[in-house]
Amino acid sequence: MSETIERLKVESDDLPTRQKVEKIEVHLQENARQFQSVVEERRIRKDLVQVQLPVVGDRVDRNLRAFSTKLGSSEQQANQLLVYGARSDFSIAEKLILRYFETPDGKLVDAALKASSDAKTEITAIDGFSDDKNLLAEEIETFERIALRGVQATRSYLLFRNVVMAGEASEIAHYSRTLREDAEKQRHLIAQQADSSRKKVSLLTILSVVVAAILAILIAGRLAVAILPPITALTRTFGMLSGGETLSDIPETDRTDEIGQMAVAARVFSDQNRQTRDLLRDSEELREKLEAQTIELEATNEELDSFAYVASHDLKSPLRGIRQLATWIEEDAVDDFSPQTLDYLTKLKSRVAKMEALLQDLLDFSRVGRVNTKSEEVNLESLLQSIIEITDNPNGAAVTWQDNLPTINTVRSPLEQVFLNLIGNAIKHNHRGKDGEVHVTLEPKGKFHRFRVTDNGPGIAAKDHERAFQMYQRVGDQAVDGSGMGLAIVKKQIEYFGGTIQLDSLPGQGATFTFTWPVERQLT
Amino acid sequence: MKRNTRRNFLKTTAGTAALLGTAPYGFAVQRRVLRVLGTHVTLQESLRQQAQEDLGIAIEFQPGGSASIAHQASTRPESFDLYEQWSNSIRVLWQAGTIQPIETSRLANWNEINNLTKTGRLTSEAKLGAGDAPNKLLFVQEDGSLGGDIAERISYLPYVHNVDSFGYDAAQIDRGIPYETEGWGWLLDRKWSGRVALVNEPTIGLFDAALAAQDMGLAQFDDIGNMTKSEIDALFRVLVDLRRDGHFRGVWSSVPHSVELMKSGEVAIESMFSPGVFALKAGGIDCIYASPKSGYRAWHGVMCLSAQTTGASKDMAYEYMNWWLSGWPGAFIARQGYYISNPQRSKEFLSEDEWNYWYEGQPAQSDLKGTDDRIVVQKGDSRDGGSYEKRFSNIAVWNTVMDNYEYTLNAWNEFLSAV
Repeated sequence: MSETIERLKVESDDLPTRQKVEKIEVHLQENARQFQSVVEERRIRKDLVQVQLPVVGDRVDRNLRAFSTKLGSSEQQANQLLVYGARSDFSIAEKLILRYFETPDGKLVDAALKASSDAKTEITAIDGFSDDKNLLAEEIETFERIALRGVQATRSYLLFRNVVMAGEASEIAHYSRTLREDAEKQRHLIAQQADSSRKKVSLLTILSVVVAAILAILIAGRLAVAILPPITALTRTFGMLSGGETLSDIPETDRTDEIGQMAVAARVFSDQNRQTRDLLRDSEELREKLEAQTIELEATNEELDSFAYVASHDLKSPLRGIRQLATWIEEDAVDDFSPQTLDYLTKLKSRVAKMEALLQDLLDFSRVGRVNTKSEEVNLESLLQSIIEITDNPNGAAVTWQDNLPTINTVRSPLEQVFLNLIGNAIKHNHRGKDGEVHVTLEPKGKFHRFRVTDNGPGIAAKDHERAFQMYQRVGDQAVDGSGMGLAIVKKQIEYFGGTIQLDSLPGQGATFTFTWPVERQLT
Repeated sequence: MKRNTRRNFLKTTAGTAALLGTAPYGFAVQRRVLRVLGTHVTLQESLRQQAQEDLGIAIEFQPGGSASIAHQASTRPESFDLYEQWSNSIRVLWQAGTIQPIETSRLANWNEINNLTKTGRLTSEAKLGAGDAPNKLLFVQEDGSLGGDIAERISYLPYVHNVDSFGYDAAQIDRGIPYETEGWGWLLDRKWSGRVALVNEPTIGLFDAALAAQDMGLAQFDDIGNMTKSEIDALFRVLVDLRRDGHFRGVWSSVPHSVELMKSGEVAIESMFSPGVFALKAGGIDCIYASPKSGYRAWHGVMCLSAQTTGASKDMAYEYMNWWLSGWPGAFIARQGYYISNPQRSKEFLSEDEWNYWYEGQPAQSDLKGTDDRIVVQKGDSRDGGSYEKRFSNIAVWNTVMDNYEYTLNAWNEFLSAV
């Protein structure tokens, strides 16, 4: 499309036409930019509404039911009624908010928030059980927060699509329409001029016939033979031109008399007709190419995904070079350095190492799904043993797993990375020294293996659960080294292979990461 | 020999080490920058530089479009410390819990904030506009909701505000009499068919169109600040018919676009923002900013504190908020036609002539410059609509996200697509 616009700008010798083409170009570029926003908002909305919200909603339902079972005795009848009320109100809130995502209407959001607020009020009114109450109220608030994010993403998506992009399209349509109108006006003008010329030629023909007749009588028709055919041909030519046709061959243009001049004029009209037709065709091409651009833009999205991979990959090499040079400097001049300089050099090497680690994490993250791995027989006990061997465990936390872990057919490297990051995290955050424990279990769950990695570390507050899986987000003790990418990589790997991961943890009560891994390899 | 061996070893092992992969690892970087998310209206480089110089802190501006920054603010509170936008974005942010209350006790000049923000009226006789007047969204009530009952905690810092109307080119349209013959209905007058534009934003342009339709007797609203679906349908039937008749040249999406439309002669009358009017005047176009007899459409800027800003960052945020109410920034934005919530503090930073023109509505005694050093007011000119008090005594409606906001987005799309 840009080629067509460039060509029109170069070929058009009419300034207003060129300016209109330039304006179309500006609005097309803006439209393309806004299209990216629409794609992004749709992606965010889909994740919130179809992935995050159902998970949290199910969790609240499950925990409310579990709490109701816990209150089973008849002495808890008053509390039981409050839990029933909360379950009912939360269910209403869920239905209303889902209805909003089907048919966006702000009143549904207000009603949903009121119902979930009622559910929280009923939970709060329960006598005793403060830990359970606080957890339930927190989970309902998480549900509200994700729902409101979904609402905002829906509104943004509608605004970009219905207003911002429609506004740009309206401007493009305006300038395209004026271009077409200009072309139509020009064609009409040419037709009028051609028609006027045709009439003149007709009159001339009549006169010529009369004159020819007289001359024929006088000079036996020779002159008539010389004039009549070219005049007739020209009359037919102008007739065709007034109908908007273009002609490759105009007769009689090599003559130097009046007929020759009219033939030259006919050729000018023919050329103008051709230009007009080209302009109309180009307007149509612009519209078709706008549609084609939509498809191209989607491809561009995928290219952007590759950027993080390429950037992190290419930055690693110069960093290695810097580390190497620092080592050589140390070797060459260590005896000449002051303690201060040595300290600087040590810091330089340490920071380069940290930068390399950060880039490696980013690379790992962007590599998910890029590296073709083949399925193989993986002995889970050997895999966990190898992870223990390569993981630094200065305080000697005990890493154990259930008896008789099987051999499974799966992709080794991604699963190894998941366990490496989960177990590495548990060891890193262990605050009980030698009493620290990390335990891995496995159980079948339909078409999936369900793994659990449980530790007795400091635990993670419920409000940080969601954030823990986001890129560059660090939760827990900030003094512990970490890039904040470990769990993001874990989540991305698991979801790439069709599994899910869930975190159950409270401060002081350790953490359990439960994830599913397909029995048969599948990709999302 | 030993050196060469070690170097060779390093050369061969560096790549291998990187390939082995590492456990999650990294380091925290101490943050020392105040991050401000907002629109180009207030995130101007001159303001950032002056604030850095006055406060001795590093400030990072993150300017963007209204929709994208509102979304960022409602979903990623950790990505900013302060958020500057319009009062109509407050409700969603508050519900989503991404902003935290501001303590009025930490605002040095809180007592100077005038009644417009605190009560919705600048003076007791002023007209109370329909829609979300800023006082309805300001105070944090005991139950955690936002309301008009005075409290010590507030949802936003009151600062920049203005009234908007439509602008018209006096070379094409005869000059009207402010508050008497000038009216919103001019926008739908068929005399200007093909030369009319609206701002492409349903929470703003919709009210311009509604006030115009109401003025012309083409539509009626029980509450223009919160229209029903049937009222919205009735309004858009009028607008779509007019668009099909070629009444509207189009819509504009930025102030420069609105300026270009009138400067090129394509448009004779359109929705307008204050900087656009003064840019046209500076460019020699006699653009009049109308004073509609039924009142202006008003807006109020808000500055909000991220729910995740704490400690030293929070202290910096309060310093920045206090700086905004310290005089100089209010004087700076006055030269673009905007008002500040404690104007007296800005008076000493404006010349007497500037104060009298921008705030008192008196004729300029000399040529006055705008923020870009171009002359925007010619000697002898008076501000359209008169003084601050007079303009803010005539508010018809505040920019508002109505209950039927989503419905208006679909209706607006039908309007733009009508041919």
